[in-house]
Amino acid sequence: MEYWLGVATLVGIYMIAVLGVSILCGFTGMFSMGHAGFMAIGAYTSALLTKILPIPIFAGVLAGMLTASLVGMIISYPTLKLRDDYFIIVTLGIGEAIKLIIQNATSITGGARGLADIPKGPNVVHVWLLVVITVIVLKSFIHSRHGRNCIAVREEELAAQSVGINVFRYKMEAMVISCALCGLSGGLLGHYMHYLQPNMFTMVKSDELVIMVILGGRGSLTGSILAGLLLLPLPELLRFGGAEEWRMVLYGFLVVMVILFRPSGIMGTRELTLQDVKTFFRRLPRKSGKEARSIDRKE
Amino acid sequence: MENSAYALEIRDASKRFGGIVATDHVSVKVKKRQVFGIIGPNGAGKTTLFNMITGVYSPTEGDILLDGCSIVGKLPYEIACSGVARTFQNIRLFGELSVYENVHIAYQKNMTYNLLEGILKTKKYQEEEAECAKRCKEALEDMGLWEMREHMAGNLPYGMQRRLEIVRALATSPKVLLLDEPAAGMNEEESADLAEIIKGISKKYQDITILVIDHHMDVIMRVCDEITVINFGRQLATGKPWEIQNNQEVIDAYLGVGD
Amino acid sequence: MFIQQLANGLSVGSVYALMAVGYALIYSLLNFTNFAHSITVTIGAFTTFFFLTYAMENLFLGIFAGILTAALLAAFIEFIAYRPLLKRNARRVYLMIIGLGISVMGDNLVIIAFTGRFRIFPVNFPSESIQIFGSNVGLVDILIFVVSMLALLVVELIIRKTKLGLAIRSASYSLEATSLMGVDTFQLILWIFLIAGSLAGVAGTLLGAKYTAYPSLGTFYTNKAFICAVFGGLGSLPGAVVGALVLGVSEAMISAYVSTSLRDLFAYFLLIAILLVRPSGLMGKSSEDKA
Repeated sequence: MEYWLGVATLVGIYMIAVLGVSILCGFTGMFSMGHAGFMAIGAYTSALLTKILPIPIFAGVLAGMLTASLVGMIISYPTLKLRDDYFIIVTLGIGEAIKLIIQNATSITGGARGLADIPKGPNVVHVWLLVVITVIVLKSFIHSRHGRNCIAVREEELAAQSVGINVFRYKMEAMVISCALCGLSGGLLGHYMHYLQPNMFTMVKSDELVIMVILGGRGSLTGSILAGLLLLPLPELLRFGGAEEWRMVLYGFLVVMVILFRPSGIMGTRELTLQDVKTFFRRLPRKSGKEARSIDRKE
Repeated sequence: MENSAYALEIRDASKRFGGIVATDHVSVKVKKRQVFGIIGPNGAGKTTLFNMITGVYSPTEGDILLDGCSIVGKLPYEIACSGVARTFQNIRLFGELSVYENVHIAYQKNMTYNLLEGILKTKKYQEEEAECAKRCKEALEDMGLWEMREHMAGNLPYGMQRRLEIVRALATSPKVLLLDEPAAGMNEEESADLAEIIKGISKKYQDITILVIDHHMDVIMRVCDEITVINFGRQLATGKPWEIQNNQEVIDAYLGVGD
Repeated sequence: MFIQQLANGLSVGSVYALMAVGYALIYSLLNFTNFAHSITVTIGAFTTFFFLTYAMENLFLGIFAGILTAALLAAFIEFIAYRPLLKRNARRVYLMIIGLGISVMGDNLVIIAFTGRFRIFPVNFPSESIQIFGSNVGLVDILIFVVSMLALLVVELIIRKTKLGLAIRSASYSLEATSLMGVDTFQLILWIFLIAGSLAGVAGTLLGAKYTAYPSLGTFYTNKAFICAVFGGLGSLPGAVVGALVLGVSEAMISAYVSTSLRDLFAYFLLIAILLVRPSGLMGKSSEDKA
């Protein structure tokens, strides 16, 4: 039981980061190859603050979120006006730079050996409560003019400008939201794991976040959640030798297949609604399993 | 605000790309509520002119005034916010979104609630969204696109995409509407419909000024109050449609050749 | 010491240049960053290693085998993944995502197939050093620099002097217009990938010779090369070469005079600094989106 709770907690923690990246990559169409770096900022900020100062964990995590958003804001400021490639490279740069700084600042962060004795905090209930809050907030966000403007930016920048959308501003909004959520996720991770190491936040981790969003469908929160629920538990469940590599091969393969044969991912830009689920289950007993599956696949 | 008789004034605007002159000292004065046409063969610099008005490029020389205020140096979205809406020559819809969402997003320019109000779904949010839904429905019904509202914009037939672009532009409640080759790729019948649509807009929205670029003479002649002719970036003539049709220089340079 | 580091920096920089030019070539035609570039570099290094170990202890043929495999792999990736997307006119971002997927898959398949071990080439460049202005300069560095420059020269000649090169040059202005002139664009794109892949193969074998072959070799060094390409201005070939040499030399100097561990950090800081000061890079063409 404890093992499963552990898996559930970790899935919840990473889910928050996936949701953040979903807003940036899925809804606003900006690719990041370094969001694990923002998780690292959140994680180390919160861990160090709560270790040194007598502040509660939630305050530390909040500080981590703020720091991650601030760094995200500063580094994306010069690049958001340029083509997307520059944004990708600057996120890649910041992701790697953060990891290297942590590795080199041994006296503060413990370097590559890691940072231990981080105050232990969140449990599975806290984490999933935060996931639910995040989902509700993000859902309102994408149904507000702010979220819709982000989507317009993803679809067609020039047209977005022509209807009065400040592209720079909405890209920045998406960036800050995603950095804050990655910061939150990182902060929780540190306090849950009790220790931190820079190699928890490699480029592979950043790629993973993006991959889940793509597999779920760019522009679908429920898609990201579904992909997260399917893929996030894998590292905990597969523990045979070489499993890590096979898992990444699977991710890579899925991405290639999805882009070639179903570019919209599991959900496309649709959301899975309660109504969909209800119809799905209502039809299950009456009709054959085959047909039920075809409902799932419709659109 | 009302300090100029002209909705849009282009003063001596030139745009050079390296050594290439795209528009050469073009001056245009568009009166309020006019339908103004700009014609000229492909590559004459018409779209460059639109791109300067909408802030995609800034003119190398000259000035562009909206309601008497210069808009040179403003960003495209700022110009859009001050009341200029446009369509694109090569359609640029939000392709993967529904017809309705395309219009809804454009209408959002008129909304003011902030991020927090949006997330908390305050009363202001609800009122503005309700108003928006009503207005979008009206706009789509007007153009006969309401039945198509759930369709993905990118999958619409070509003519409807063009119409949707116009609806989207109108949804921003513009003072000046720029139509970039709205009849491109349309057959006789469709372009006749289009002419009616343009006339209808100018009748329905009392304060709107419309600028149309095209090389389809029939559409331009049918809808415009005044026309200017551009060739190789230079302005050949400006006048009423019948004046243009009888201008020898224009006939030689453009009407006689091709099309 | 200074001369020695300069030679070291130029040799590493010239290898960066090989990879950066690959990025720039593809970018200049297709306007997207080929994230699958890294795997061709890794495979180039491993091919040479296995060739030298199991087939023949001939370094020249080994390098050639590496180049060939890498070029074929690049062409294969183009054919399998990019071409269908280009045919259906997919968005640029999909091309980048699929490249990312291939690189993630490739890197991990390499680990599964060959394990994560570091493999030393059984035959290698001579390890002696020679005296230049009183400093010891490794012969390896000189040879790597010479080989890289030769490879770049070959590519330069192809682009300047051949019919293929003419097509490439015109396509970099407008792929569409070039296809209207009767050039088979897909064949052209395949050639571009073959050239970029060959350069990646050269880079892979040279890196393998200098540092050993290991699975994350490609990713690590192509990240640096990507920085060089951005530094030089995305899509500019001379820019990529200059950017690469500057980064190579600066890294060598940093590790010699400041600290080795700060070397990689420097590269990323340089990147962020460039983007702050001059985002279009040294020789980037500014691209205004046409409405």
